[in-house]
Amino acid sequence: MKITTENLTKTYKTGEDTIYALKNCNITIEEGEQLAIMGPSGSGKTTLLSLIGGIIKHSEGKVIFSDGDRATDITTLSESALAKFRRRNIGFVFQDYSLIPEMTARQNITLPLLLDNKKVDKKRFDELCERLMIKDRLSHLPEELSGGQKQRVAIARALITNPSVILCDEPTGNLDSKSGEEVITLLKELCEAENKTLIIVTHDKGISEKLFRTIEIYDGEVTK
Amino acid sequence: MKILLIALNYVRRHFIKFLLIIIALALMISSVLFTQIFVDANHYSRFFTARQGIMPFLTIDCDVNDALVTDEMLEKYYAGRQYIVGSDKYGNHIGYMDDKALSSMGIMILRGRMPEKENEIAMSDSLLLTYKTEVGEKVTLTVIENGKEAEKEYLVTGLTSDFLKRYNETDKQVVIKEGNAEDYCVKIPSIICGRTENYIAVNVITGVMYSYENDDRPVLYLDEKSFVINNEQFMPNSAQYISTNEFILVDITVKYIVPAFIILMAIAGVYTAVRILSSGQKSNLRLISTIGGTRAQVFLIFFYEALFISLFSSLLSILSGCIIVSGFAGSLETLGAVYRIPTGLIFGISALGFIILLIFYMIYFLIVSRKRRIRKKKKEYSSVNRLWIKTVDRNSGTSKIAFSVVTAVLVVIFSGGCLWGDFISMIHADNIENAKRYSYDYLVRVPGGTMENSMMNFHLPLCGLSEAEIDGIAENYPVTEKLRAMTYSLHPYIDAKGTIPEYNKGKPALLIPKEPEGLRQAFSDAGLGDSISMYKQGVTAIPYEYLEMLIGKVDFTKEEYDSGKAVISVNGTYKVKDNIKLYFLFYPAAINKSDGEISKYIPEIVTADITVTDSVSIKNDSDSLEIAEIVSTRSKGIIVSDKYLLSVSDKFRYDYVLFDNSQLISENDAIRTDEYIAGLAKSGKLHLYNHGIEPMLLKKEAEKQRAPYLALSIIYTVVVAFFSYVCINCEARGKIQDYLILKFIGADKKQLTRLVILSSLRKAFAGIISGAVFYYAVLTVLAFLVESEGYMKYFPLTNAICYPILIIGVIIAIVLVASVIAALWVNKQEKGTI
Repeated sequence: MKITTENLTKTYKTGEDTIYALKNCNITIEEGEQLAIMGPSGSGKTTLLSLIGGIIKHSEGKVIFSDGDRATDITTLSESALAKFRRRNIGFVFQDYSLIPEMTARQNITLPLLLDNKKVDKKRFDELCERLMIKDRLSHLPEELSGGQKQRVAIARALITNPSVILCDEPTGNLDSKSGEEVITLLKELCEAENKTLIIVTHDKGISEKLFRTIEIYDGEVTK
Repeated sequence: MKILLIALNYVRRHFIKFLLIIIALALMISSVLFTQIFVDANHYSRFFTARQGIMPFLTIDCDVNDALVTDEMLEKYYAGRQYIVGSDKYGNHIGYMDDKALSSMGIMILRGRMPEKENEIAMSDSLLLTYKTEVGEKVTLTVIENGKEAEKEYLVTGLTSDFLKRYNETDKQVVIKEGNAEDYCVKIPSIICGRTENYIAVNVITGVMYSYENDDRPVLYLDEKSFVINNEQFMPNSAQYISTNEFILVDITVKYIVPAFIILMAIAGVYTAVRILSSGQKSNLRLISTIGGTRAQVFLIFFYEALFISLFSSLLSILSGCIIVSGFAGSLETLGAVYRIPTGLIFGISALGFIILLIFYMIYFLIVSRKRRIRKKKKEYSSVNRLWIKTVDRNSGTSKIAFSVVTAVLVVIFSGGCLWGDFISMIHADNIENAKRYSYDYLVRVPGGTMENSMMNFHLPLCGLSEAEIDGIAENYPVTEKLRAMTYSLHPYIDAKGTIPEYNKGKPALLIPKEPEGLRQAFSDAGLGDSISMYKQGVTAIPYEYLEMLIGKVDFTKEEYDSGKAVISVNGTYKVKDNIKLYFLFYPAAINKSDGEISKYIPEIVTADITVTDSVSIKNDSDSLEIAEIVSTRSKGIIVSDKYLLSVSDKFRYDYVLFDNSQLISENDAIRTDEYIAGLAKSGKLHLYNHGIEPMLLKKEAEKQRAPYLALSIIYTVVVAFFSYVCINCEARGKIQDYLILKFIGADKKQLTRLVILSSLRKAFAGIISGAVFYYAVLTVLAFLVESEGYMKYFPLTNAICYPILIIGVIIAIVLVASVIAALWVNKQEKGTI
């Protein structure tokens, strides 16, 4: 799925001051492309990712997801339509894993399917778990897993609905370099295999080098 | 100063949370206070009702009292704000009275002041004389302590007007502070009306009359058809007696159970509020542990914080609690009962609130400082709702329990409260039926007469017999006794117009024990000559019909008689054609407000000139009516028309026909006596007390007693609404991370809202089910206890089901509203929250 942002802007108001978290961002990410978003802390990387994912509300501009002839500007969608769109087309992976602590790994992974009233595709579930090497950890709670395993569960959850786009916010931020590398490799391979668009926000230059393209953001503006 | 500033800054930063905890604590304080007031008011209401004469009295010798006497709470209810009025014979004539009651009973301080401390006493003049003491001096009295007689020294603080003297010359009155209750062997909230051995005993709860023993002061009842006398022995119905005891026990039990529930609910609410206040500190606590703080250090840091929060919140809560409860009590006072906030309890419950708050705060931090154990549920679920309930919601821990407890208590309190209110109404309805059953059109009090032996007249007892029963008694009763009964009840309630003057309502008869001081001088000043002539007159006012009945055929017409042109001299008191000046004494209305010291009032003297036209002789024949005795104690005097007498002045306050019943009237004159009484009834003047008002008064009383129960239920519903809101929102905030994760992975608004509502309803249902189970279990026991005695015929079972259904509906509505508010908040949150 191709993603285009047009003059995408996010502002925050503190008193009378307006702070631009993201300013007039115009980027295009082709279908199947693997993109790294880099920049210093507070530059607007996560904001851009959140806007693309429809997690936060934009101030101005558009975020257009194009699938062939069909284009959807998610900034115009109602809350429920956006939730539905996100559920079916976007997978998220966060730095803090964002797993529900009371649910087992299996329950966390299948949660997006339940939200969409869909049955678990056992074949896909098994394949994913196999690839991500978490098959023997499925009945464990997140607190019983290592950081790498948690992140792999999060990746499985992001991929279980077979979305077109995977958005990752510092997915290796809490992992050691070896685990981080494994996670990125897995993500990359899985996305390449299924032609998914992958966008990763990272500080790590090593990660960006592994992806096809890198954009850099400074003070809310895309500079490169 | 610096610490204070830091503290204030802390409060400022957590203002909303502090506000919540203060509200929670204030609700707890007000709940307990209101409960106490409610229980208190219930007893007070009985006392008050008894005083008003709507329902008669408990007496000290009535066994029913044993149940109340053993209830030591009763003593506390009145402690510190009531006076005990008693006689020098301890155990007799004791009434618990407040200032209002004292005033209405005509007890006032004539010199000095009322007792304020223990070992202080105010006495009537006769008692001062007995003990040869004076105001300001000390007196040693024999009191009963722990069932034994003991000497105790009192400071005489004042001289009181004599309340008891009104009824019995031999009794002398003392007033002491309620704190001295131990001095007395009886501690019941009742007014004893009657002498030691003769009284009517009526259960103030059920209105059932128990004994009428040895009562030689019958009251005459008269309906439009007949008259009846009720001075027979009326022994208590043992079944009623036993069931009444059971009822009292159940009543007392309920009064203990209800506050226990309320405290439980309030505690659950306070715990929830503590969770809210301290929820933000969870991360701080972990941080301190992370950077090397020992468990003891962490504990101490939060202990000081808890101490500050508890102290600050408790102090503010006292004020808020008192304001809340004053508002409720104030509005309930409009119903006629008197509600007071027990000051001692305020501090007691505030201290309890402080301790509870402190303990909860610490418990909470001990809980959060430990690693939370999650209960794993490995099963796969086909719906997100089910998965959420079984995993996330299942692990909500203490808040779930607190919320369930609050809901359960509400079901019990509301349903039980309403049902109990019904029960009270049912009992009163029974009384209303009784009142109707025993209701007569009029209670006849013949004008004139004295009151020495008529203490019962002060309050009107409910007659304990049916009309048919009374008719039967009347038939078998000697007619002499009928008249005797009537004349014993002589009561100057009626004025010349045959109506009851306002100032006379509910007042005892006027008794003039001795000639007013200065009366003779007033006579002389008015140029009326020797006042002795007034006493010799012996004027008797008799209706024309009765006159004919008494002395046979007369040779003047009714018109002549009623206009004053016909005047009869009895037994040669005056000669025919004698011109006589009649003297009438009119006493000021204020005389009724005095306490029997009528002698000091100088009456207004009105005169009328009449001429004697007839003369009759009346023999003391045992076969005839002793007219002389009926007409005048001196067997002499003049007979004039009652109508003429009334026409002399419209200022009549009392008729002054003096009947004396020292001699029995022959039974042979039954027919004539009946006719006479029928004549009295027809005259209209004798209509004094319409019993028809009793059902209305009882209904009003039932409503008054029921109101606090219903108010209690409504107040707790409001309290629970607040706690539900707090609980549900607190729960949603605690789970916000989980909700946001759901939101990021695609949960829409509806799904999130559904989860919040489901989670809340589940907890509410847990409470509803436990509450309902407990409620029906208690109800079954209560029903068994009461019904097994056979007196209470039924429990209103329909309502027993309807009330829980109603409150369950209300709870669900409350939970839904609170959940929707929480869900709106959850849906508003964005990524930044994580």
